Amino acid sequence: MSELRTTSTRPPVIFRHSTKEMKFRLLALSLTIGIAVILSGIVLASNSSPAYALDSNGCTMCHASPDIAIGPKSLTVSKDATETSAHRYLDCLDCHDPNDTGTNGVLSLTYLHAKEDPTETKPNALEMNKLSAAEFCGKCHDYQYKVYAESIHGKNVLIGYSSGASDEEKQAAQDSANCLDCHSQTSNAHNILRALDEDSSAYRKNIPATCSEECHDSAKVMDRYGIDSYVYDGYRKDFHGKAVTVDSYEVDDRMAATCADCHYNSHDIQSASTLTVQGTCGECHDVPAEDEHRMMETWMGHTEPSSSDFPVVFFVDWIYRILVPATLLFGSTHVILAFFKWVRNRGD
Amino acid sequence: MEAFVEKYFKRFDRSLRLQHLILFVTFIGLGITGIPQLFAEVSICESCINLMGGGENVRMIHHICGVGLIAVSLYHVFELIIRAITGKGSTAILPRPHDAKTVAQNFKYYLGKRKEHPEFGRYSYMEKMEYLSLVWGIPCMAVTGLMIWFPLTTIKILPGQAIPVATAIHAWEAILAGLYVLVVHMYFAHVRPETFPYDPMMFDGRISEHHLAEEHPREYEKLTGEAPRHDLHEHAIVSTDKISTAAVPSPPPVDKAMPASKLPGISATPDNNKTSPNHKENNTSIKPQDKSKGNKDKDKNKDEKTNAKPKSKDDKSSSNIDAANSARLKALE
Repeated sequence: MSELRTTSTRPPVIFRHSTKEMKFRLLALSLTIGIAVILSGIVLASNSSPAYALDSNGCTMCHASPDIAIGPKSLTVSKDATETSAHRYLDCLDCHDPNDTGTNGVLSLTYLHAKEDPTETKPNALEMNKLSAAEFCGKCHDYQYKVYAESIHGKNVLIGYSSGASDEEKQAAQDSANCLDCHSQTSNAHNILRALDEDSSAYRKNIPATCSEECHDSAKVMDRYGIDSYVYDGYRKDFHGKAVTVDSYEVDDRMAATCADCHYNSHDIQSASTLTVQGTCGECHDVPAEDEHRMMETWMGHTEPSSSDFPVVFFVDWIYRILVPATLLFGSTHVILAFFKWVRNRGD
Repeated sequence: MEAFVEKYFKRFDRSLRLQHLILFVTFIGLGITGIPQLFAEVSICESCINLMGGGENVRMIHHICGVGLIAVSLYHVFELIIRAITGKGSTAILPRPHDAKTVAQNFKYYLGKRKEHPEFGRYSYMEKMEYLSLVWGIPCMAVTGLMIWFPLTTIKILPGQAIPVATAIHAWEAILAGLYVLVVHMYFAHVRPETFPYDPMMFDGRISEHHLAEEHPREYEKLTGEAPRHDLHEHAIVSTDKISTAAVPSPPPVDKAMPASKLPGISATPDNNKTSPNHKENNTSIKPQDKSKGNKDKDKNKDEKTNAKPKSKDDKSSSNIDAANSARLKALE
């Protein structure tokens, strides 16, 4: 039968052009690629040249060293951090005021440097705390500080550092976020990034992760305040969370809601118990006021479905948790049996 | 010289094949855009979505595929209705008591307690189940999908909780359908050793005689009127008397995609008269071919019959089919 099949006798076409032309083409191609690589290298190199943070007194000559420390307290200031920082145009001395006599805690480096023996260990009272750090930011960022002081986080911090605070209140102050916790990846004042920088922890797409990391996803911390630590997982599985994760985002875009959008505002975070439904969904969704309660029902963002919360979803989940493995078991049994039947038939 | 000449039967008509093509393209499109959205919080899914152009684009592709799938399903229903009205409909896909028997037979066969292949009709119970799961699954996915797509319209009619319920059903049903198709359908339709790596049946619409006789013996019996031979694939030489009965008068199921000259042997659909009148379920498979093609093909069949005598082998203009026949006869002499 095989001789009846027509087979092509023509050799396969490998090069359509003559060898000379092919050489020329290859040369042109490699030249083009070479030039493109060199150009893009130049562009990349020019883009990656770092900005330099202002340091008129050469503080980083000593402080960039990873070894500089007083006792256990490291005094290292990472150059990488400061050079990408939002505050890189501020001089060290703008914050570390030479005239300060120590009221601002560790910021008053001139006070420390003025001592006869600069390596002498200073008392811990000079450490900055949650409140003093926030207050210090508020010296310039006045409005944000005022709003923050009204927020659930700010209130906790203010109460916790007021005189006569109970142990629980002190603990709450420690657990609450201040400026640095949200605006810096390492809670370090030296690497605060602009919120518009996509690496910033306050960048819109990063806000949910920032809220959750070590705070709202920690059952240990959240149990003290009766907050569900499932919120972040629930949010990520819900439409808003998915959209924030995968959708593109430009700074002037209106994007799916993050934590801060529903819980009022990033600086003015309020407890869920004080939030009202009215107007919250309507901020973004074109929904008439009478539908807003229904709209709120559609969203189960923070709750794990259970027999009491979203019972139908819970019920559906359970049906499929049985149905899916059962169906696949049925099907894959056939697959396995059919395959081994074939193997045995071959053996016969 | 051994001549392997395979006879083919028509199994799926052009409309069904086209519907299947659209179904599987949209299904894959829905799967590869849907599953990463379902697990968007997993970093690999996030990268997949970014690779496909970000969340907005992935959602758009998903919606387009969804609309395509709904459209082809509606067309299928429409076609079913038309066929029911014109009396060309087939109920072969519906479950019947005989299927319960074949389940037992099948397991016995798999476990070596039974020698012959189970007596499947046109469709085995697995194939029927897959079709019926689409009958249930596509409306289910379409309704829940549209609910999530247009939540503000949905909550005007239904309570708000309907949205998370629809989301849950949509997700679970997708996992179920996707895994089942990936494991079971892919295995039985393509990657099983008999057809590995793929079986073109759903694309050219024809099924080989030995495949039909082996796996759908009842259907074979109905189409040919004779008991299935289980050794067809071992004795691929078709005997002379076989030619006279096998070279059925009705034209072969040729279409542009697979011209007759490229077929390795005779391709033929059995004609209406051969099946006994009580076999209603085969109506679609044996419906008469259109006339324009028929004339040409009938000539071919005439050729074939005359060529069945050895003296006709000097006919140079005869098609591959004739050549195959003469070669076969030569081998037998």
